[in-house]
Amino acid sequence: MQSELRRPTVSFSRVVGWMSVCFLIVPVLVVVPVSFTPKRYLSWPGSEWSLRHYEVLVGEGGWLSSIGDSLIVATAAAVLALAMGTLFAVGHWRLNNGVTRNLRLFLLLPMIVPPIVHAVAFYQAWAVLKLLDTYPGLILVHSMKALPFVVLSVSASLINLDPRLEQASRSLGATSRETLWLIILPQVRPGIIAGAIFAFVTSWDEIIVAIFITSREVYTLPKRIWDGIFDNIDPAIAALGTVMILLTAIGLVVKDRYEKARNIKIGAS
Amino acid sequence: MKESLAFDSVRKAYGGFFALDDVSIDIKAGEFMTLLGPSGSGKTTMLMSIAGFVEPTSGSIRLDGKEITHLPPEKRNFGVVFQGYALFPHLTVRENVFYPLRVRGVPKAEADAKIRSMLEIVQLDHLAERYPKQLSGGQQQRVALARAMVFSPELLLLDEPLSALDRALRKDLQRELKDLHERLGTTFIYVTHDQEEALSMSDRIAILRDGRIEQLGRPEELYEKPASIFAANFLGKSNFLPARQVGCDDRFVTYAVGDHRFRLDRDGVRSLDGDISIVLRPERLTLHSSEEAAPDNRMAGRIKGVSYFGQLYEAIVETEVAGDLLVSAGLDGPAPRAGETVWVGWKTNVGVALPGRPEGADEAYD
Amino acid sequence: MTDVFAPSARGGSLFGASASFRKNTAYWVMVLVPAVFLATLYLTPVISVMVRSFVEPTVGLDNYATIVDSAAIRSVLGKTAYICFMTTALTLALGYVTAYAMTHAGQREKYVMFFLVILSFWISVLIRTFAWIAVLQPQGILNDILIGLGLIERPLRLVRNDIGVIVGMVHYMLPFAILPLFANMQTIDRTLVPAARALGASARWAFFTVFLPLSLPGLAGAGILVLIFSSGFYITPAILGGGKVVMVAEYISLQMSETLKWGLATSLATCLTVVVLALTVAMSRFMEVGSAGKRV
Repeated sequence: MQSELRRPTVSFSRVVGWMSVCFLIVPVLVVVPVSFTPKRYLSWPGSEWSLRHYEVLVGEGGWLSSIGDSLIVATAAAVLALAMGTLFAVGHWRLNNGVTRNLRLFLLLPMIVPPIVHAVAFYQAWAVLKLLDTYPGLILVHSMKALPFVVLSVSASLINLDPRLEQASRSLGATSRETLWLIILPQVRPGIIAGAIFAFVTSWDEIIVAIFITSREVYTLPKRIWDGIFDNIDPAIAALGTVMILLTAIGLVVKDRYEKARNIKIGAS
Repeated sequence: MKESLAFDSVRKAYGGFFALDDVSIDIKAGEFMTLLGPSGSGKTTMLMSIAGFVEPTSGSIRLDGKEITHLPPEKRNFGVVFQGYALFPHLTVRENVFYPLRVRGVPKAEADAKIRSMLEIVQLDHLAERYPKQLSGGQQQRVALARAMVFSPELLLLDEPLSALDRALRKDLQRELKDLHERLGTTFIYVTHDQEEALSMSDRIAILRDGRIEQLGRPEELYEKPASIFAANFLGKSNFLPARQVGCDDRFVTYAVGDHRFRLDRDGVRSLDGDISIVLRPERLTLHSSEEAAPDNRMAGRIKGVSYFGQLYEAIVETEVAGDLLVSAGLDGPAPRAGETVWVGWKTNVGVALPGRPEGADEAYD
Repeated sequence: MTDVFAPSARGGSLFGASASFRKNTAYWVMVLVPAVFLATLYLTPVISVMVRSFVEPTVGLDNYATIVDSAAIRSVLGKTAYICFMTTALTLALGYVTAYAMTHAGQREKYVMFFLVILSFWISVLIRTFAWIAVLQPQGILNDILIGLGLIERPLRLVRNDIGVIVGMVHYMLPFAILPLFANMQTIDRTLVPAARALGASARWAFFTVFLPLSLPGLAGAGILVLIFSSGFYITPAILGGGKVVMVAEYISLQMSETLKWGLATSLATCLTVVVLALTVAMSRFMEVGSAGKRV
């Protein structure tokens, strides 16, 4: 309370801090008005607003099919990454020895190695395995790139898990399998949900590997945006961006509400 | 229903370190047994090996003659109340208490009845739908107890169950636990480092030190007749007189502290050679204003400081012979005052002679 | 006492270890399945990149000799280093002050700032880069505004040059600096600076002698993190650089898709990987590797 009272209303850090935050947000929000331009090229809408670029999104231009492709790939990659990552995180949490600690670092590699190196690697390898421009090919890459995020978020919620809960469950007569399903997994549900979202978004946003290992059969949304930027700076991208920003904001608010509700009920975990 | 638990030469080694070192003990059916010791003494390891979470390196644990040393915890049917309670945060009070019945496949109606009666016993029936986080510490403690008792376990193991609570609440819950024990007749094995708690609740107490049982007995026994300096020091406050045994006749043993001599009843003490310590409890010492008023065993001194505790005074008396002595004085007599010259006295039936000297005694007494 | 609860405490001797293995078979399977999955489908392709760099077109170190000798590659590496340095310096400066402001803001203000940082963090990098084109291009919004205000007469060149690339990259990296710095500053005891003030230090002196030293590990960690991401960055340089600002990642892709010099592409990729792994090891001294790339 006291620090609130004494806090100066204008300070250097506060001004620069807000400038940085505005720098992060305001230029991005420019896509919102731009998306309503009636013109065929990227421009400020002026007095006339139009929904023509939104119509393009749902029209025959292929945007919908790319959204479909991205949904397929991201969902499958997220499911695969989630299964692998949760298995690993729980196993490591329980064993927690030198071997599993090193394996954990190994599993984090796809997060550290630069994407362009992945592009080179999978372009080569998938050519051999005949996985270029296939759904399984892209799904596999995306699931591996997403795996570290699942491991990290599930591990993070396991760290907060009181090891006595497991002992309590066993002492009350539950086997280790029952304990895993009834006590451990429900406890780490927030980590699993977060991991699933990370994994999905990692795939949903991934562009660099997709550029190299897919062409016509699999045409994801980021790839269509990429091509749209290079071809003609398509204003439909602004319309798409507006929708995506809106969805992101809604997602964050929902996440916040969920966490608050959970905290009130059963405490942070 | 009543089982008795036996430890037979149980050892637990972590590398070269023995958390339990050749522990043997028999716990009787229906007994309230307390494992008391400082941290690192092995009391929690002992409890966890009963629960089945720690597998002994050697030796055996038997329940009513039946070997359970290597039985997994979920097969033992013991209730455990963990330190910090270990309530499942994502389950309500009712669901927590239901949990052991659920994994045992108890039919719904029967389970409901058991849960209801258990929650009534711990007076939490009105909070059944709450989550643990929405309860106070004392209420959480009761849920943990209900959860550990609802499946009628053969033993109830309690690991410092009251350590997280404040003093007043702890007193209340001590009484409730004791009542519960008497009502249910289940064997309680109780781990604590709080000596008062141990003294007031237990049928028997095992004092642990460095993985071994230092002394085992009823609370009065342990307090009045400590078997070692460690036990005397750990349970209650003590004065240790650095003494030698200098004589012995039919009725008395005579001791010397420096040149000063005093006697204790022969049938109350062991005969010992070498350096020994005489343990005198502060409440067994009395303060007298003159030498004539004091009993035969007495020592002159000056009061250095006085603390008032409500029900008694504690005075530190500086003596030439034995250094500082702690003396408790009731409120009936005149209040001791710092600076007064006094005589400290004790009867011949109140001291205990033990071999050795307390650690650090050399600096204190030289 | 605590060792009683640690699952890893059991087993010390060989016998103990194998006994614990048998007891924990299920957990070992859980750990090994993902590890084997990644070893086959991830590690093999990445290692074969490294192998190829030594065998194509001829066996030996020719590709690495080319990297050292070629003036063109040297200039790409120089440009990469320059952009990385500028990006990291600017990101750290802005990120530090912003994290400081957030740390010392009131509840509500902190929440709003945090929300906006996280929001920008989650918005697709392609959309963000696209937005920067709309803002910075010659007929873009910034130039329109500046001309409209009469501050300039002809549009400024803000894309297809270093400025555009650096602005876009700082924009992408900033949340990666703010979030770990903020997390680090949260752990600094809030009473230390007032304590220094009470002992007679001025506000500035208290900051430089107390707060700054305590936040240095976070600053170092965040700096290396930004450097790691910048060095292999592709999207923003490719779009906002418009072919005029070629960094190493884009150069690798050109070798692969345009000139088909696989030996050069793989050897540069190998170098990049080695540099990034070395930076990661350095970073692990200041912050946990796991906490780094995490989107909050």
